[in-house]
Amino acid sequence: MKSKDAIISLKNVRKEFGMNSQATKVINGISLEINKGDYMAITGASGSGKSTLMYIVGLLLQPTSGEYLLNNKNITKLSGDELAEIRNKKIGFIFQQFNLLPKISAWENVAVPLIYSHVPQSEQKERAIKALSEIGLGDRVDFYPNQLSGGQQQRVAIARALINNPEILIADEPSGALDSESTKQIIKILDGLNKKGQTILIITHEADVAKHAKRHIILVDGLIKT
Amino acid sequence: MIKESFRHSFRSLRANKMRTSLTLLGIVIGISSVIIMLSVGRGAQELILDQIRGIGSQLLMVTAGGSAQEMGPPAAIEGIIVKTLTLRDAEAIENSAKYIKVVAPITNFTQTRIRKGNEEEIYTVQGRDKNFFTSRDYEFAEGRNFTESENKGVSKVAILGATIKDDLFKNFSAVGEYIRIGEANYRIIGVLKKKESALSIMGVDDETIMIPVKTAQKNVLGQDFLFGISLQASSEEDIDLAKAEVRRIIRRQHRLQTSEEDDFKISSQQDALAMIETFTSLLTLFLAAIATISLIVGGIGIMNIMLVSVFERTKEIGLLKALGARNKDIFYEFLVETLVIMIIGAFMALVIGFGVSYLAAKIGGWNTILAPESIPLALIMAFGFGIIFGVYPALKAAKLDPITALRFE
Ligand SMILES: Nc1ncnc2c1ncn2[C@@H]1O[C@H](COP(=O)(O)OP(=O)(O)OP(=O)(O)O)[C@@H](O)[C@H]1O
Ligand SMILES: [Mg+2]
Repeated sequence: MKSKDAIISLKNVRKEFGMNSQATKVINGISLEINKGDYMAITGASGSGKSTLMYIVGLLLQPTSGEYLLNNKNITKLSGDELAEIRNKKIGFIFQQFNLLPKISAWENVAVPLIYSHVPQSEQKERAIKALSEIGLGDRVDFYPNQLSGGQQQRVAIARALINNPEILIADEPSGALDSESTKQIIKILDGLNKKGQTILIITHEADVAKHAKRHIILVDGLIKT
Repeated sequence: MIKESFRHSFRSLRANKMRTSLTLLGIVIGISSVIIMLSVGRGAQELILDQIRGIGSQLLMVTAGGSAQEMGPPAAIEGIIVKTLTLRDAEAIENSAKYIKVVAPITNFTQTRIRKGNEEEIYTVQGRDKNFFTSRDYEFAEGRNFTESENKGVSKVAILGATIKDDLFKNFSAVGEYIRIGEANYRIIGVLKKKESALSIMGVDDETIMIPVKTAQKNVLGQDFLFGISLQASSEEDIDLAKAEVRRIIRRQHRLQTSEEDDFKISSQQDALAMIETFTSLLTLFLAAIATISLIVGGIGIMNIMLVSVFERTKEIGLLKALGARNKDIFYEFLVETLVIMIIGAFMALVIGFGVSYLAAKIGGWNTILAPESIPLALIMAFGFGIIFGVYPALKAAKLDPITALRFE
């Protein structure tokens, strides 16, 4: 079942927190492939390990065992700084709580990843404003996060996640803090991005949201339910 | 990258104005007190040295008694009475020294009962040659110096220090009046101007009654030896030659064998200058060292506040790492923030240090306003302490695990 197009390939990945007998086993042997252009939803009960799996896929957590290939390259032995660089270039994160920096404007928030990929300062603003315009916030570039609605803040976060054209967009409950109207808007944006070829992994507990995805995986106690 | 860190840190500092100003306060107090201590120390040193230089750099002083160490005080000052230095030595120098222009013997001083009418008071009396006053630029508030015959003879005339004149005669003229020293009446012929010197060479001129040398020896002290001989070399350049020459003459006078030590000591203004310079420099360093303690306290304050800032921004650090910040990016961001505070503090401290030093100079009456090394020193201190106290919080921030940080609420 191994596909040539696989961006991400997990093989029997496990994650435990803590040591020895006290360890909490959270991910208990997951094998998974995410291909280019995929739109994958993960659902599951609270505590089933969804966020943990997302952190592993997003290179924020090293698995306790198993193999992780990114673009057919094993990344389990890379250093923290090398992982940071991959996160910067290839992975876009969207969080439930938006996670914008409160003291800087919308465009500056969007430009943060560009700082770490050494894009010249003059170009940063230009690109950030373009990204915000594409997502319908061209008239809000100088607003601070507390001057924006929840839905608008999440759109700023999406613009930030997309600013470096990542291989994969990872969203952990992106609509968890939004009303139904804003949720619809965000889902519409994600659908549109996928249509243009953006690979997306979305974690949600809302069936309505999950059904937009092309693939749907259910997690039970750290295992994929088949 | 560093430039970005600067941009970030200014933003974060501006966002936390209260915290930033409190941190700054500690640093500013620390650095400015070092600057102020340095400048006050330097200014006071300058003042003292100027006054000594003012007395004249051609001056030499022979004092009775040798000294244990080269730079140590003469025996006479330590209270050991040495009787070998006499007026004959002064005459020998006058007659044969090529490099000496002026010879002015002085006797020991003594506390003596002085009477004026019915008033009675104890004052210091000392015999001084008339040349003593001219070679050391003494000025007379009224009256005159000893005449040649008064100087050489056992004449009962006196010159008063300014304070004694004020004590005994208030605002009235003293010249022509009489005072009783011991068993005889002395006519006052002159009053010295107030010596506003922190360090006049004989100590307290303002509180001394000065009479001719022989008069003092015969009538007051009952001794035929001297405390010392004040000399003026023919020029500043010849001071070392003069010193050697005088030493030769006195050794011959005292019939000292080659193996014997000098029973007198010759000190020049330069010696005194060197000694006082060393002493005041040490004092300045000591003051600055004490002030450094407040700088250390300020530094610990900034470290404390940076640690709080790391804690408060835990979630932000996790986010930045998720977005691609490497450990060193986070490290620089926090270190630069500390350094920015320190450097801003250094500039503020320079301004405050300059202001206070200026006031101190006004009050103290010296010219040095800022010790010249203050500016580089303030910056180096700011930078050094910034590194010392900034590295630990920055490392702590850099080492945060991204997930722990992201999940932090
Ligand atoms: N750092 C950690 N140390 C110990 N246990 C952890 C750690 N992180 C997660 N866990 C545990 O792993 C389990 C799964 O957590 P995770 O956040 O992945 O759940 P989830 O599926 O995202 O739940 P939710 O829907 O509530 O967000 C939980 O029981 C949690 O306590
Ligand atoms: Mg979760």
